[in-house]
Amino acid sequence: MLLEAHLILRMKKSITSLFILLCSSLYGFSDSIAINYDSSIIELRQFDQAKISEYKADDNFEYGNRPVPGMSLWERFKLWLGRLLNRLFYMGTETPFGKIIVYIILTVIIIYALLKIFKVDIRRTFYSGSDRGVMDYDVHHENIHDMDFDRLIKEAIEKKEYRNAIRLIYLASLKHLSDHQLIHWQPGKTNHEYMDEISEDKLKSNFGKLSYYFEYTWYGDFAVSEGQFQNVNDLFNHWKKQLPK
Amino acid sequence: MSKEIQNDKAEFQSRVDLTDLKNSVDRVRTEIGKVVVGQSQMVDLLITAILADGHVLLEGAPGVAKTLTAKLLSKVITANFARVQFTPDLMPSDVLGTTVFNAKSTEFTFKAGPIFSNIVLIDEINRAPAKTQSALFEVMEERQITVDGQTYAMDEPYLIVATQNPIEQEGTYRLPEAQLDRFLFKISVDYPNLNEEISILQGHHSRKAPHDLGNISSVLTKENIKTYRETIHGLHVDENLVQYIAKIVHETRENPDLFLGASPRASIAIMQTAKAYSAIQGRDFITPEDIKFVAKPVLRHRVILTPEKEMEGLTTDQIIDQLVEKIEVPR
Repeated sequence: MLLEAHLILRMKKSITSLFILLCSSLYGFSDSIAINYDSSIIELRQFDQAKISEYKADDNFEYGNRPVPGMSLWERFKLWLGRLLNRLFYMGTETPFGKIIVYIILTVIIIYALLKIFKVDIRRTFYSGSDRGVMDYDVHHENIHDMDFDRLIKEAIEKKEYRNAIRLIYLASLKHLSDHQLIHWQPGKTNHEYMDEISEDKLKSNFGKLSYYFEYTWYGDFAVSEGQFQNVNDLFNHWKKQLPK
Repeated sequence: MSKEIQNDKAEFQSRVDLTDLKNSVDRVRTEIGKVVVGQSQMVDLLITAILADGHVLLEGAPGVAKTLTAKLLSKVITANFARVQFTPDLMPSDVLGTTVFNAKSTEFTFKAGPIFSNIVLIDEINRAPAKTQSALFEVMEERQITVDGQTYAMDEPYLIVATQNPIEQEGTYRLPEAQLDRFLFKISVDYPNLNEEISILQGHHSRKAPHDLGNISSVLTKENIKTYRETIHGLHVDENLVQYIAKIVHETRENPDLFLGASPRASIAIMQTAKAYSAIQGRDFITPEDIKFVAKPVLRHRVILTPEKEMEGLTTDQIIDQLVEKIEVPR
């Protein structure tokens, strides 16, 4: 009973709310249809004919002609370089001093090109004389086929540089193997790679011993006595006799 | 004459006592050889990597004993061992560890992951995505892990042995260059030859439990490794050979067939591993032979071929061979 009364009361409240909402909407509609008309007088303005004539006379407003741009920085540089070269060329061809300079430059270029083509080491060409056997040379620019081993080994022994002497003996043994075509000489190969290329057992075994001495003295930095060097030298001389005739 | 010279060969006494090191290495070879047939180069490179304090990436087709060798290595060294199988859904915290709340003590405590071992085998490393790979950067280089602002140092010796299969592409991720550079060696594990294959079959047939590694003895301790590493560090390196190593690595940066050259870390790796390799030969100085032996496993994962050469079918190994041959051996 109480619930029914409550429901009826809620329905009444809802109907009242809807009625108020509808009335307020109708009032809003009637308010928005009022129109305000602009009744002010319009003043017509004309273009200034004198100004138009002035603009017509101005070239900047002549869009029919394509603009001619000025020289860019790069073009000015090219022009300057061209003039300079022209002047130099004139000096080089028309004056005796200029001709000498041009001939010298051409000769240097030709010599440089020839040296590069034939891979000539200019330093070696000039230092191939008596001072070539100096011991503190750069080991990375050596070519075993160009070295006078007998003289170099002799000099090393005289200076008691036995470590270097063993190294030279080893390089000499590589040269002998290469000359006899027992190995294919390539600077990038290791000692053991050369050893693997030798087919003759005795030659290979003694070359292995020379490699051993070379590695311990050169890479291992072991000190070598005169007696030890003599042993290596004897081994080398014995080994040379084993090479094919 | 020959006999006299043969006697003289013993006259260069090693300045550093490498007898114990060499004996230990021989015992390791013997123990691994009880199970793995052939693969002597792989075993030598693994031992070299341990002595040079570097991580190893083993690459090879399935079934060529990559994982088995890594497990055997952990058996011959008395040290902690952990194995992680990398999968696409693996998270960095699964590898490194994570902070968990302890309800009993009402505190957060760090639960260490499998990476906290002396030897960590990461199987199929290229199956985990870049996020998990990146988690390994710090531990591989600095031997430490930083989690929640806390740094945890790894116990020495610390070695990661990772495996990957080069053939399978499905579900794999290419390892980042920064991570590859952190591997000391990338060892290519080849198929055995015919005789080795026969020996494998015979060994497998005669063994009652082929997967049992119970007969493998530990021959190296953590202390041994530490001592050997100190010894190796002091070995002699000739100045000309230092230049030779530098030239090889420099050439990788100049070679037109290579898109990316090797880093200075590669130069250091070549020198360190050449020293370790010479020590296991019983020599207290390095030779160009040692450098050539380690150059390929050190460089092959650190250089990248140009796309043209890759399309021509060339491999990094071929280019490394060519450029090493080009450089004059100092004599």
